[in-house]
Amino acid sequence: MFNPSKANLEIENKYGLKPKIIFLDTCTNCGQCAQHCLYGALKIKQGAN
Amino acid sequence: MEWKGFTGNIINVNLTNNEINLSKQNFDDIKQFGGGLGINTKLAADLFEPNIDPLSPENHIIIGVGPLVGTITPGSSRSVGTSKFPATGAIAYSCGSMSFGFNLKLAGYDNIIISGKAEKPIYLLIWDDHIEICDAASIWGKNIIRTHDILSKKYNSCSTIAIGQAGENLVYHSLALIDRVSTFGRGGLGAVMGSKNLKAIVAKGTNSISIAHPKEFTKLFKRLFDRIKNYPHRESWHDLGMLRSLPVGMLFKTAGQNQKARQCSERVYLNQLKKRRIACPSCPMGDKDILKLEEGDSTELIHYATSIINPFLMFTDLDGLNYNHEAILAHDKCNQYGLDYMMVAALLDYCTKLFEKGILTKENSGIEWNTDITTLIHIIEIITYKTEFGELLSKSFDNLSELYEGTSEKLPNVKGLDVVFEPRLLHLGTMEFEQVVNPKGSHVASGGSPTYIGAGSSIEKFKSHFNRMGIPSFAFDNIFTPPVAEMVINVGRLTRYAEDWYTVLTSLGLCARAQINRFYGLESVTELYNAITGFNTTSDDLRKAAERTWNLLKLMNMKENFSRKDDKFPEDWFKPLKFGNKYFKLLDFFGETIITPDIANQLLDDYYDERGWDKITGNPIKAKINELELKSFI
Repeated sequence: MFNPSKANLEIENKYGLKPKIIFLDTCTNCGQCAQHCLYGALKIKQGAN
Repeated sequence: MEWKGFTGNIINVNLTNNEINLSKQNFDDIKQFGGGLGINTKLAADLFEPNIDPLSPENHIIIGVGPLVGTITPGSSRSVGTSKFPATGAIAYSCGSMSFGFNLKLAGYDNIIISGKAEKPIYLLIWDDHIEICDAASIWGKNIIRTHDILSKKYNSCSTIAIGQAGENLVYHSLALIDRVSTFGRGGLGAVMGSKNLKAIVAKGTNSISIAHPKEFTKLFKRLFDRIKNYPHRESWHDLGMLRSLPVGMLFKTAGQNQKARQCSERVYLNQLKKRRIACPSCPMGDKDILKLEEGDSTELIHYATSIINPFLMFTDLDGLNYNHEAILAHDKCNQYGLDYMMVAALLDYCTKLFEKGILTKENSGIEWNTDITTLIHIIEIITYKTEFGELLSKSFDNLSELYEGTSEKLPNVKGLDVVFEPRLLHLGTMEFEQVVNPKGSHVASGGSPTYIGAGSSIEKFKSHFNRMGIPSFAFDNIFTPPVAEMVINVGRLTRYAEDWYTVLTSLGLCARAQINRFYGLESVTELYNAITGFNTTSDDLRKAAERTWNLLKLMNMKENFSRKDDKFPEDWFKPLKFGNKYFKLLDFFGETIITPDIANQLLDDYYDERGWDKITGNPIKAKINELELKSFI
């Protein structure tokens, strides 16, 4: 089942502005999103939770 | 039955009666044609009466998305629109991307069929199971960018297919944009929407897509994802987008046009124009562009483009256009109004030539024709609002015929659409040849193969791509038997298989652009299709469904009186093209053989032969129709 509306992060994308990534309270820091981001927008910081 | 991958639901909207109802997909039709382009074509064949006026309420708009759309399969965001197009009179399709298909699937639908005509301007809202025809009075007359922004704000970042003023005014060369970025409907889909008083279609989906075999799918996805992640050119794609596959600056340099070469160079793009890249949902390459442009002292124009190469390519037609900010401004204007920028550039070039010959004058046209930015912006305005000479330019090529009086020079076109891939510059590959035989006429992307701009030039590379595309090995000998031995490849025969491969991708919902398509093959897409839908489809079944779809499209257009007479190489192609300070002739893919009218005719014969069609009429023969079980559509 795929459902982006159940994602644990949101992108605020206002016209002409740099998009802002917002991690929701439901985020468990599993790192899956960063592993699958091919654009380098999400990266796992070494030493971070 | 419980559908996987597909939702199994079709939305039917009759705008004349304000009626909305849902129907179910027919399982046999899906098996026979696949989704996306395939099922759209089948639905169209069931619905369309022959010879209707494209701008009448009798025309239909069918939007369809394939079974892979809405999953995380890389590059699976395509929407297909099928209608009768006013610029060509053909029943045909157009594709776009961004997040419309994704939202439509997550809302719970595979297709929308829109018929009739609303009494007043409306937009169609689809938000999960809430479907409503809404009053569009407050957005009618607004440009596409503004329309999208208003609707997106109102409906929580929804997706839109919207038209601008050109579509509202029924300009034949108007189109729609998906999410204000992706062009959708070259040939007049914008005008068809306008004729129905349909300003926009809004989709917002928050449900889930269910797939049949999640473990198998995850395995296939991981294999694909790792290949893409390790693709050595991925990062340069992220940097350059479409400039990586079509370095426009180099094209101008070859022609001795150094200023234009500089304006379109990678350096200028990266340092001055690129704001950032955007991608369709699930796309690992991201070839859509957001450009920034300094205007005057402080104003900054933000421009969304299907690709940076689109504004750059306006330079090829227009000698008087010298600076990239001019091309981007004009392109932006076309996008706002929903006007086909390629057609506008071709028309301006053509009318300027007629002006230089004294056929068009200031007196008879009201315009001092010139290919500069001022004239370009002026004609964009007068075409969009159909004022002055723009009334004539806003119609089809048939209506333009009076311009031809007194001159042998014609605007190079196929079935009323100007040439997109100029084979005298790019050589005659399948992409260039396909423009001639495509039922809709010249447009982008239905004939991709290894002949695309020099890729895969060795025979071994060709064979490897042929295997990937699912071309049966028994066809190889024919493909390597051209009319003249030095040509090596018979693009007529190869085009049949390029179209079939395109149809497979487009029926599943996958992007056909080379940078995505290269990661897929007929076998791997069959595996994905089965994992997602739970079907036991074979590669041969998918290939056959694609062939069936293409033949049905042809049969529909046979009823519209299209035949071999319309599959015509533009006469200009046989004359040298002056580009910059050089002349270019029509050459085969390897650039060794001059393509004469006789060779061109032989290539057409070979295309029809490979399709199993009649060489004289260019249409499917009885045996082929029976083989594909299409008898009921004659």
